[in-house]
Amino acid sequence: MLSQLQTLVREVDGRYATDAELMFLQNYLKTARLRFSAYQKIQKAEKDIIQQVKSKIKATEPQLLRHGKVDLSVKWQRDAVRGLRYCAHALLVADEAGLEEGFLLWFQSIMRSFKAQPSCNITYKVMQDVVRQHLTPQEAELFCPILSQARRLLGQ
Amino acid sequence: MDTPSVHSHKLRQQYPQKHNHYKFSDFFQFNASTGTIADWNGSRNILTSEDFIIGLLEGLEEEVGAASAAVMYSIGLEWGKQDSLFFDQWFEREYNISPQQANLMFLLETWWWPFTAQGWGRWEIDMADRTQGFMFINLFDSAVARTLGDVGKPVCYLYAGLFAGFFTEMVRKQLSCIEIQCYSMGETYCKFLLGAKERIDAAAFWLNEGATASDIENRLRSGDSL
Amino acid sequence: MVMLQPPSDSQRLEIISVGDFFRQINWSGGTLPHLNDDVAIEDTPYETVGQFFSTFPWRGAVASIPSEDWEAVSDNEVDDPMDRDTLTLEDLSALF
Repeated sequence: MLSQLQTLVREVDGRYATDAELMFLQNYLKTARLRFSAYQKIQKAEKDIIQQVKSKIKATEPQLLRHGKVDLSVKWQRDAVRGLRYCAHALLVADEAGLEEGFLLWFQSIMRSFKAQPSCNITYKVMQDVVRQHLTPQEAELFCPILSQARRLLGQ
Repeated sequence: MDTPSVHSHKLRQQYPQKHNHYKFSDFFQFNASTGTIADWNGSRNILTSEDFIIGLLEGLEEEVGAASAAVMYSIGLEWGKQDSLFFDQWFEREYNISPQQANLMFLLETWWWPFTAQGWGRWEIDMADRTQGFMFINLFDSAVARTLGDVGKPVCYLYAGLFAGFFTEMVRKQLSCIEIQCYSMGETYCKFLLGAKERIDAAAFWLNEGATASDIENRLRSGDSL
Repeated sequence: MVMLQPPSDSQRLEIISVGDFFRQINWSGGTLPHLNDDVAIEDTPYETVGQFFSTFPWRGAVASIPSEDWEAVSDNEVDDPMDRDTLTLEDLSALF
């Protein structure tokens, strides 16, 4: 929505916006309450979400949290918390384009340089399952595509 | 394009440890009162048009003829050397670790990100052959090649010099670089070969004889030399 | 600004046109007489800009950090430049 607002400001110069050009605002307003409530739930449940994702990965893919003898779980947690927060922010302001430009593209190159794509792939897959337990189906329907976007960019 | 500047970046002052700062509106600071543009690391930036790039290259060619390629390479070489010193400073300031101790791929990605933000294109480093003493850099959306279009020959001498200069300083060995495939030859992206001078001279000779990028790769991998 | 409670989680949202939305903006900023505690905002579209923004979680950022033992994530810890892979510039230098 923020990126679209910027585009609107740029495109609508010296004239009135058309209904079609304002449609994104209406679409945002339709889902704004859901976004706010989901954002607050994610914020309150951040710790639980991260711990649940970590437990699931430890149970199914423990090698992702280790590199030889080095325990990567603390680093993993920092990355996962950071990713969750940026995704939640994108949910709040409905700005997937901004998420990609401001965070995902950069983080993608960093994760690739550490060969961490398999870890990201599983993390953002499991995270979608976990957040469904904390959100209503309607809220999850808005948030999971954003996590899926993160998975697509960071996981390969 | 960088020249050192004293302009400080307000967003960086607010979030000095923010690493994902390469979005256009984050990375650049437009100082309307002074008419200057500063980037995150305090460099002064100048916006140029494609006409400027064409004018620079064609003007140079008119002045010095075929030597313009070597001039552009030399400009890139000096730029790369100076940028490695500049990078040393800001990398250590941002990550509290010396470049010499950092994870190599992380370090190199971090070096290139400001260039990506400035419009020099995205890159990909291919280190598969590093144990043989050479490596490849793939460049997508070269500002020079994209501007000149398909002219049937490599044109990114500035980049080749930049890579040679930067890596020479960083690895503290005299290195050279050559573009062996270019968007301006009708390819989809540009490919640079980086290595010791003898190797690059050999590649330049083969290229001159009509070898393709994959011919050169094969010859290098099989240990061919002049 | 009219302050109202945040909406409940599973409300049904009514779709209004952009034209309607703009007509409902309380340009003067005064309190609308018919808005009081009995109004079930879950069932109404946003009446005013104030009402719209009152649903925004302004206080959320500090009010609900779950517990103090949750390790704070500071920006400089997001990536550890030495982690996971140990090839360094010196290793590269040795290869040329």
